[in-house]
Amino acid sequence: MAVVRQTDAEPGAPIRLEGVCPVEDAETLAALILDDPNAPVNWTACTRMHTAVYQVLLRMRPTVLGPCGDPFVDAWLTPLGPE
Amino acid sequence: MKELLEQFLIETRELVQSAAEDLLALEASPGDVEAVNRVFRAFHTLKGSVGLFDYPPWFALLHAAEDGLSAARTGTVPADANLIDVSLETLDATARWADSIEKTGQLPGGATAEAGALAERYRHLLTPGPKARGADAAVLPGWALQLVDASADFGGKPSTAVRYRPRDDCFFTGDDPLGLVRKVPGLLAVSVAPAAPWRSGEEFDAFACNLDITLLTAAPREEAEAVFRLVGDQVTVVDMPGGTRAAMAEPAVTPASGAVAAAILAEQVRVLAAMNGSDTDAGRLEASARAAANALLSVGQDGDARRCERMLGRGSDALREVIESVLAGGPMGPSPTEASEPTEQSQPLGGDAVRTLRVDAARLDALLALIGELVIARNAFGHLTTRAEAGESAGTLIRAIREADTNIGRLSITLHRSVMSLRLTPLSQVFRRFARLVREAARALGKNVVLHIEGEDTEADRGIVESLFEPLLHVVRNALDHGLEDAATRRRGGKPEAGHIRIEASQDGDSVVVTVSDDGRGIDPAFLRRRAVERGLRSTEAVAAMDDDAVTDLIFAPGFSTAEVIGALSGRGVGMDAVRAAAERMGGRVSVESRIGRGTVVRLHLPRTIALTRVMVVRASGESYGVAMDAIVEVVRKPRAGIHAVAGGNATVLRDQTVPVVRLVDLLGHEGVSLATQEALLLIVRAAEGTIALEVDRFEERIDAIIRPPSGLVRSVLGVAGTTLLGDGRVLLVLDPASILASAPSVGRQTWEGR
Repeated sequence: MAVVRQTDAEPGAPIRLEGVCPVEDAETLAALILDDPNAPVNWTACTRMHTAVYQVLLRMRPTVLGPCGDPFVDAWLTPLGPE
Repeated sequence: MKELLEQFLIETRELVQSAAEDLLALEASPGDVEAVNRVFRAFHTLKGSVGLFDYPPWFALLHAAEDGLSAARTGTVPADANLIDVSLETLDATARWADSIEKTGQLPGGATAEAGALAERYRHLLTPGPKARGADAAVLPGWALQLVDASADFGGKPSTAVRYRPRDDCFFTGDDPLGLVRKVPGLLAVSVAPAAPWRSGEEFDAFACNLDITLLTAAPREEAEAVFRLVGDQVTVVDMPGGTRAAMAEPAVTPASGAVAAAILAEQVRVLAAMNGSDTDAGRLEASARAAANALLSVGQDGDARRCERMLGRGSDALREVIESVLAGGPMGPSPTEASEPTEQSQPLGGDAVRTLRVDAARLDALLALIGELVIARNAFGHLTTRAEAGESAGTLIRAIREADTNIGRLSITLHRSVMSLRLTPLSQVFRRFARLVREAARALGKNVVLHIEGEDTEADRGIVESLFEPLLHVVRNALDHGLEDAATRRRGGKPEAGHIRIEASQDGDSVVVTVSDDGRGIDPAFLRRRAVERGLRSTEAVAAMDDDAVTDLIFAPGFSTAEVIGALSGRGVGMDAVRAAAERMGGRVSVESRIGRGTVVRLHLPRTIALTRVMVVRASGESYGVAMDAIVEVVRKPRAGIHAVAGGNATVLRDQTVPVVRLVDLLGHEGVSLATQEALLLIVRAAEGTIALEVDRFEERIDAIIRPPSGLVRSVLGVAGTTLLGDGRVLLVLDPASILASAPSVGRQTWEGR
């Protein structure tokens, strides 16, 4: 599991993507963002992102924090943020 | 995929052939409206099939050709030598490209430039006056040009653009689309956007892929294709010629857009500039965006059109920038690099495609056995000759000869049936092509459509199966375009949101029934009545007298289009009449059944094989003619006193029904002497509008014949269904009563109104 959020997080606390984020993470991430639409997503520690995970970010447009740790996404698929 | 392509190539060649013939016929007799119609239909169908595959320049060219021919149909532009020339050249190019695709799977080098040049000539025909600049434009899709815009590293070298639209369910099959993109060498730009607008308010399905990925790479085409080879069906690859970006963005020249679209765009820029960045006037902004998008759609730059629409929410300046960038960065003319490329098209391509047929060995064995029997049966004749020479009496000989004849007759019929069975092909070949077509068309129309296919194992003659695609395509397009309502309307009508289209095939005795049904809005007879009167097809009284079924049947009348708006897919007024013509050419018929709000069912009854036809030979004014027995309801002798002169013609009463009587000689335009016989010989035949009695001079024989479709000179004679050979070697013209009646309106009409 590479989507991390503290269980007792305050509303607005960042959601962290860590390491390799496989396809299953898409649903978890979507649920977390739906839960707290204002929470930013910190993707600096994500080393490789599956398309489905990227699609969630593209669809829901949370604020993303920092450069993406996945070099491919960082090079080609940013900026990404609220519309 | 491969099979689909093979079918496409076969059909393309046939269409090219027939369209070329019709163009030549048009050249020979200028002003032949029917020839223009036939050419238009061929191009219309060609465009439709090319659209199934991804050859954007080719599609754009056929689209332009269709526009040109459509204008010729309506008489806006003359169907003159200019139009015929450019159309023939387009057909040549089409044939060459089909060959190239067969060999290499792609269009030859230079095709883009050639397509652009030809398309421009069509546009030029449509817009006389000052010649548009940049006549030799090549058409590159908008998305590819956007990538060039977005790429910082585009150094003017030739590159490859790829568009990848992963399937909705690709995540379930383990695909990671971006994972593939990561593997592309020499990336210059990547763009990921939703393939369809996100639907707000609906639950977001994180595992349904809705992405449109485009990328630009410096790697050659083959390397890019290699990466995507497992998802080849979801990928479009376009070669981007070299040249500096400045050269691509030659200002103010938008050859592909045509002068009109460019003018519309320029006008929007002016309006938007006048708004001075103030976004208060949302209505005007929206109008501008819509106008620009429509102008772009009309010239096939769908990507740019969408870009304009997206800018709607971002204010007038953003929209103006986009339009300006389209105006400036529009498709470019052939660049020096492309022109200097070795022209592959000069190489001899293609050649005769080998037509093969896979046959079950057991069927061949059965054929061989039959041939053996036939040889033995023939030997019987040698034996009979000997008996005749020996002076045997005529009586016993005749019986023996008749026996031998019956025997050979039985064998030849069995042999014919066996050979025909070799040609039987399952309909799945045709049906399979609709899965993709319906999916893409539904997406283009923004409708949710579920396609059901049943009975695809039903077999029919290869010739029938191969000719079935075109009419079926028209029917399915109509169902998609006009039959099914949009989701909102369906919801209001209490129907499930997704429309259903069902294509079914079944065998019914010696024929095959193909049914296309939808659960859409159905056909409104009241609307058809109005439309028939507006189009001048029927008089107000006539439509009032017709029952609803007969009115619904009017959709098959030539020149009858029920579409209010010309859709992307259909609604140009071709279609249903072409369907009926195609069905009849195959020796079948088509019918429609519809209930308002419940849907429409179109049934094609087609012969399963090209069968031996029973033909009745009749004599009229000293000549013999054949009439297919299945057109004949019955044969009657009627005393002359029973035929009465009525307003505009003759009629007789047959089983309490008044039937118009027409003399065959009159229909054929012969100077016939009226026979002073006591009895009139009448063939009661089914014609389009009911039954009619054809008077002939004499009935001769009934024969089994394979009717050859008319060719050569005979082809231009109206009312001839085909030819066959008589036992004594004479050629017999087999008439098609329905089409003779249709082409002799004076006779047909007056008798009908005298009914």
